[in-house]
Amino acid sequence: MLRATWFVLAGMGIVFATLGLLVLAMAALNRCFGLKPADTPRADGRTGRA
Amino acid sequence: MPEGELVGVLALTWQAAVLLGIGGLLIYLGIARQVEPVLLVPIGMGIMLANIPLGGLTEVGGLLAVLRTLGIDTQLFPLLIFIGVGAMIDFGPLLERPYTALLGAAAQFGIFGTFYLAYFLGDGGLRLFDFTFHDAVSIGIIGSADGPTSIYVATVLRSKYAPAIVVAAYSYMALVPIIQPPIMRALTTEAERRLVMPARTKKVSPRTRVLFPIVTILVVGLIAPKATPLIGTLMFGNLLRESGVLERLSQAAQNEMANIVTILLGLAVGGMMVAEDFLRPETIMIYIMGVVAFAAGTAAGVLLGKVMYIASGRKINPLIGAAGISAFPMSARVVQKVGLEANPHNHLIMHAAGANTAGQIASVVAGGAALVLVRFFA
Repeated sequence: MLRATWFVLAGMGIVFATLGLLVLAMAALNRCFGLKPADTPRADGRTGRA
Repeated sequence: MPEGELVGVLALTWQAAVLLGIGGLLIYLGIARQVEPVLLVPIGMGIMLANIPLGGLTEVGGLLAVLRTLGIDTQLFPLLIFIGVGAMIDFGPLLERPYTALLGAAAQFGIFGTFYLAYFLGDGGLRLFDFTFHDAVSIGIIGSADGPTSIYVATVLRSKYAPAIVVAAYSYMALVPIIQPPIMRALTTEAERRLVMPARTKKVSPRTRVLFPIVTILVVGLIAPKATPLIGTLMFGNLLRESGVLERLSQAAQNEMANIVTILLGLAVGGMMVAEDFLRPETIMIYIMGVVAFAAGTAAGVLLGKVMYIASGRKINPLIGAAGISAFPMSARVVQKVGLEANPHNHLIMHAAGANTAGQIASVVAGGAALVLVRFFA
């Protein structure tokens, strides 16, 4: 059962490490390519600066 | 010509009769009760066809045998299904709330906890059941709450219980609204369940949506390479959806392809449930372990949700952790329902959808991790 215990710990470790990296990747994507306030449509339906 | 070849009823064993009854029950549940009809009706029909004595559909060259050889033993069907699933999933709620990915990770404890229990009951400890290390891993994968991943892992590991595991995985997905709420209520206080989470107004840019599937393939593929077929097809489907220039292919993946493969996969899975292989004490235990898997995953997600509730200064409702199991979109709907019971103004669906889609990715990662690790620990 010791091997099984290590299997569980390693498995959960890989899952958390991978999803943790994805959290960082998503944060980076949002930061680099997220919508800026200037991209939000104005009342006239256009984007960009007035 | 022997008499039995003309009169199938003479060759009918009680085991085959039980399986015919189970097939009929699944068809009944699908049509009359509308429980996952898309899955249960083809599976039920596959079971019936496979257990008609002397029907020959599961013999070499028979329809069900061909479908199994071409679609399941090669893992082709689950991967094609994943292209369709990827094209159906909107990862926007996850991209708006990246932290919910961790809830998806926590809920995968259902896989590994169930593996541990199955191995303890089998070769690793009590030896009450004929569960090898590989079988135990395959049984644990029921906790992924993800049919294609269950098929993929159980067939790659060549578990002799693959049919029972796959049927259990699909059956329990229909039972998510029954399994999850008692656990969610038991692990949370009324005050926690009542907590309202504000809707996010910040939208995700189209460029982020297009890059997300590509980045996910790279991240997951490089850490858990055995998950590449699953994550690759899932994210390819999502790229079709988000690219904005492949609407025709996206619709084909979501509809025509997913529907055709679902029919073939359902028949093939049902066709794997042949009486003499299926009616064993181990099969009954696998069904019990399926409940354990879903319950453990739900509990782990809610418990991490409670940690986030405290760490965030009571801004995150721990109920959304239950959606970390990847039963998409049922578990997100269950979270919404339980949240509304505690507070009629509490709409958690979008937050739960973030955890739910993260669970889809996390279950694939967990399956890939299990396939990599089994070589070192088995």
